[in-house]
Amino acid sequence: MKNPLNPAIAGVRVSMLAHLYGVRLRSHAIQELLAGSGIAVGVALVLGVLVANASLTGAAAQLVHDVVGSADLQLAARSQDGFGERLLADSARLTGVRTAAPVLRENVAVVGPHGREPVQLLGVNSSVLSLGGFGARQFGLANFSFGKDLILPASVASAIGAEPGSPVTVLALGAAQASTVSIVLKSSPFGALASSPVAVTALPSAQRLTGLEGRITQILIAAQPGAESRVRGELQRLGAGRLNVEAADEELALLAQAVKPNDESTTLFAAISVMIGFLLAVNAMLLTVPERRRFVAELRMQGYDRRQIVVLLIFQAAVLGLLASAVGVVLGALLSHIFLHRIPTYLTTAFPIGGQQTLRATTVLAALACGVLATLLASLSPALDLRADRPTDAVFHDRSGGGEVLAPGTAVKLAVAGVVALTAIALVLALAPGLTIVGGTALALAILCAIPGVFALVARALHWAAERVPSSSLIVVVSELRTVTTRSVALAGIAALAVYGSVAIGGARADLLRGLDMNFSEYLGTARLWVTSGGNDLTTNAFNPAGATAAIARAPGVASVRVYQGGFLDVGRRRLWIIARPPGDEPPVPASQLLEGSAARAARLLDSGGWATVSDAFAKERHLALGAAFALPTPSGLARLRVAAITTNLGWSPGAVVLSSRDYRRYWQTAQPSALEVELRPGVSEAAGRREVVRAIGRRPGLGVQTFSERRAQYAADSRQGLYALSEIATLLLIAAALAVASALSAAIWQRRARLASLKIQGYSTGQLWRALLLESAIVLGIGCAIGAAGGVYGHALASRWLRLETDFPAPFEVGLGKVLLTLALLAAIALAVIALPGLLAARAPARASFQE
Amino acid sequence: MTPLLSLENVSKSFFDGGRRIVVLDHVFLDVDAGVSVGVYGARRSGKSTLLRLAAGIALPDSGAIRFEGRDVARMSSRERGRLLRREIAFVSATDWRANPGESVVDHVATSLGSDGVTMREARRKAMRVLHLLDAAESAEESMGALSLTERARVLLARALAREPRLLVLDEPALLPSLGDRDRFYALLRGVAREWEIALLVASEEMTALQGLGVFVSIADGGLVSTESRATVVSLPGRRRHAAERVGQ
Amino acid sequence: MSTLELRDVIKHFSSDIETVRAVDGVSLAVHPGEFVALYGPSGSGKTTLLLLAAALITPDSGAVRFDGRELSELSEREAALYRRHDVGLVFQSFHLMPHTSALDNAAIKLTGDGCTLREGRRRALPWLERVGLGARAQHTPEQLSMGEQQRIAIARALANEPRLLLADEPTGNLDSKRSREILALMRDICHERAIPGLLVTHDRDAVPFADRLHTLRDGHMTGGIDPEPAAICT
Repeated sequence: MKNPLNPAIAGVRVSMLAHLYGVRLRSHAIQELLAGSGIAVGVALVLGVLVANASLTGAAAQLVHDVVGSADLQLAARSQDGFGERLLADSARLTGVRTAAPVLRENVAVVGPHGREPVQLLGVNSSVLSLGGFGARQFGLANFSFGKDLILPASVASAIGAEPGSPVTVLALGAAQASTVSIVLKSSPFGALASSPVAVTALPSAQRLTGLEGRITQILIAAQPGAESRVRGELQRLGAGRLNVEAADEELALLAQAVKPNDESTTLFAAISVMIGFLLAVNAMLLTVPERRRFVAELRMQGYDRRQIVVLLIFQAAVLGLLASAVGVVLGALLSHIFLHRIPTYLTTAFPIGGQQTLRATTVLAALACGVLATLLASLSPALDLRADRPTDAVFHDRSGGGEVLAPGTAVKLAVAGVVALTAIALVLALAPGLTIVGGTALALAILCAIPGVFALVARALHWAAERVPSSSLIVVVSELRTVTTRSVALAGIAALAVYGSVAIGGARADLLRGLDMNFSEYLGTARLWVTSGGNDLTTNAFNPAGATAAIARAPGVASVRVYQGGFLDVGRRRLWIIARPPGDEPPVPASQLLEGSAARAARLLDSGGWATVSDAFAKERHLALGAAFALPTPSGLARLRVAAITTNLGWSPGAVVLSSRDYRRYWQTAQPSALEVELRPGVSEAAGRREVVRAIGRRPGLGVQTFSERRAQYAADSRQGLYALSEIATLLLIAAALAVASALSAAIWQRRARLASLKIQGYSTGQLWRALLLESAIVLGIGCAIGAAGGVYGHALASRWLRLETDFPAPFEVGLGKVLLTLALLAAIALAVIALPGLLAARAPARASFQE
Repeated sequence: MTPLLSLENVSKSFFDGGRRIVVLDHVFLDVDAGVSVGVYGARRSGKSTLLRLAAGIALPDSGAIRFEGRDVARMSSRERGRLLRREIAFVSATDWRANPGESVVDHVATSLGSDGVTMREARRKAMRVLHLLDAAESAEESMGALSLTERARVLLARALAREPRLLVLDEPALLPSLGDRDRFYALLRGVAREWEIALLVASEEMTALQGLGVFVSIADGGLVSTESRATVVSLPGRRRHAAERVGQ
Repeated sequence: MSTLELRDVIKHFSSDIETVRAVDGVSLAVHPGEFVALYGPSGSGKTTLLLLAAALITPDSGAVRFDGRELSELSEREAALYRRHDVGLVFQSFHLMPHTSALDNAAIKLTGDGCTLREGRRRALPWLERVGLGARAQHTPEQLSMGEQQRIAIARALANEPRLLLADEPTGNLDSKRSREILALMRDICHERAIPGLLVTHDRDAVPFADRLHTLRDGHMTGGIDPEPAAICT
């Protein structure tokens, strides 16, 4: 009677397969555990990076779709002042329009008992529900009416310590208004809405809170089927060149453009992580090869045929792979939750990005599949014994013992391949810097090829030294280095890749931070005190000064007050940062960020009116050279300007435009400042000046004062915070690699203890053996690290170049030798520290061990 | 009647550090059903090689190995697996590693797994065989804890569990106590007689092989029969080639 | 005098691979210039005796002395030095360093003692020549037969000009002809250099080469060798 739960696969029952695996686990528990943890760490890395990659845009996509629902088009304002409400009725009347829903969106801050949070205020009415947004779809809330109070997501509410019914203050455009929290959205079932920095209220209430009565910033349009293009044309007519007509979810395209550099660098990182993860899994499995071969041989002598052996191997690999990958997935989710949870604040002022992680089922399955695949591939080598020309018990008569030795010719061939690849990469990237990401991955592979060759060279050098220097360790080390196995190459490879990734990405990051620091330092250096509506990072939120300007100017320590203006403007696919400099700002454009043109000339041209500086990518897109004319869509229509200079992106990925405040006032038709720049009289300290300005501002709670140093520090912190996750992962990668290398080295040393013990018989003391082992480990590691560092420095140069050429970021290249050495030292220290104990134990192995094979 | 196992003109050589050593030089050997053959040879004389070829674990360089007339080398991997599973059992005390913690009965039982039996059935069969060999008391003991004598018996039990028709044993009882050794061989001969299993046993201790039906000795790549009444026909092999260096 | 002396030595231990039999009250003296063979099947404890004589393990009770020194009282470091300077140890699984020349392998005890490789090679070469491998000194173990590798191990044991020769199944991997050569070599070394030599084996070939024979069975030693009909082959 066959038991359906215990089928026979190729003639072997599943219970028998399980029992055989249990036998293996009992006898080699530690090896299997090591192998499993190698796989788990690999999978965790892969998943962590994949999730990080997807989360940013994923969360935003969810939020945007939650808001716009089924709307196809929108009529959008070009400045935060918005446009008049009467356009709503006009657009609703257009033929082909099914629904027209008004929205007022403004950046505000909500202050509660425990703190304050910047949010995007969304003023809507019930028409937005008929579009299916705001949970209307999920709950059929067609008749919900938005009250005058605030609906806050749970994330915001808990941050400020508010509950339903709590009174809060809304700081908008420099003014403060009181309000109350009516509803707190819990994360399920509201998904993205519940974890995004938004606050929802009825449209009139939002208008009152922001002081923008009668105005809205968007009209969301749902068109009748097939009427979309006609409606679009009509809307453009309505807009009369002053408003943007675009897809309802245009936001996402703009965001995608803004995070592109982030995405691409994370992709490179993901690729390196995948490689390391795979190597970790393979390396871990390689350790188990010798005893698995013996196990297989014994089974074959008991009558298990080849097919059954293959089934057994696959079964074991599948079980181990699945279990270890599952653990890895959990670890990876944890990893991304802890380290990648933070959203770069510099993006949140421009885009509504929530904190929700998207862990899609497909991502998890992909990571699982990678882990199982790696395990399967690595487990197959005992299957090599199944070849027809080999005797069944070949392994018992095998003299190589411990890893497949690489043929001597292979090292040379690989080295040549590596050099050729390197040359090819250098050539291709010199011509096409856009391929740097791919090139960086290829570079990682190329440096791996160099490893066997370097092993051979180092062995030769050490042998030369051993001939002349009295040392008991050297000859032992030389012998091991010459026994270059796939395992030792994998070990050094892991170290090399980890160091490569760390140095290349860390170096590029350091360059970027240095560039950004310099850039923002010059940008902010035009004034000693900055007065803003607080909380916004790129000085893009205008406010109503309500007499503050004059009050500040009257303060005794103040020499002058200037009005700075700025904002965001959607041009094509770019959300450009607009900077409007008042006369008196020295310099209006940071000199260090100029790519073409001169600072003095640019300042003069800006002042004269009709000129602006643009960032390089934008100029290239529109084929603009110095002096060329271009047009910007503004709230008053097209503004015709000429290029005064070409700059980097000034720290904002999509690009920046600098013009004079006179031009800004003319085209944006507003005199409201985004910041007040305060100059102090000579001899007045910043602290003293700040005190006076604060007093002058008095009770306007919506305004905040910062000194130049404070604001510069804030910008520096934001830059770092945006790039923080990257450096954390790089560190984690290093640590994981160090531990993996250490454990693999320990296991390899342990497997050699019979041979080590035989040295004892020849008179080596434990101390001598231990020193030899440490030296050998240090050299193997050192080779990997050195190759990784060399490749990493080149990779760093490539990455910085990519940042400058492809993304316009300011990133002056500097080798940073100190950091490279620190990375090497860290890896080496961790690995050696972990090896020290098992190495000592192996060195202490009794000589008996060599008598028992 | 075709012999159960027959080696026809079989040659096998190995490479040892650049030299080619001829271990078996055009040898012939027949083993009839139910007959027991002892192979005596000094160390490194090629006994193990001969046995491994006979059991189908290694393949000859030239010549044929036939089981019931069928050429083993020409069989598919599945057929050869079936051969090792049901017809021939190979016991080698040296090529063996203990799996710590594995009990005796489990060790015997896993060898039956290739036949598609569940673990429970396999254990039952294993216990039966262990009883027959008087080794049932150590059934739950760990393999690693057995004495050499007990282990020899368990390895025999593992081979017998599959009910083979030919049992090939390579130095199965190199024991410190002569008495234990003789008792083992007596048991082996008794079981072979009762179950009508053909035996092919190799040892470097001639006294161990007393009592077997046929006696062959191996030296210099050739087999020599010392009993003229054997059903074995063998030719004295040519002298081994002087060490040829093939390549450096 | 550099005599190897074991008196009433008792040692019991077992590993998880195989139960190594007890050595149960063995006494043995090997005098300088004597080549003594200790015969016994595997598991009889003869390897244990060798490990004791090489100061690799200490007895549970009894004395193991070489040149008057009590070996069980040596510290780990002193024991290592003892093996490095005084003992030449040859055994069946000899573990040569892979991908290293025969000469560098033979010199391992010398380089372990602080010689440069060049110096070690200079001193080891004559021994390599003595075992007949002078012409193949630059070959690595992978390029040599088992027999040749065994001979490297012997040269390695002798390269430091030891005062005590210990051998455990040195002919296990060799055929009869080679075995006899090696055994003759070891006996000659002992005679020439007037050092004690102890050989443990279960190879009957050793019988004619030893000055004295003992048998070890079940931990006990007897003189002479167990009666067993010699192999007669026509």
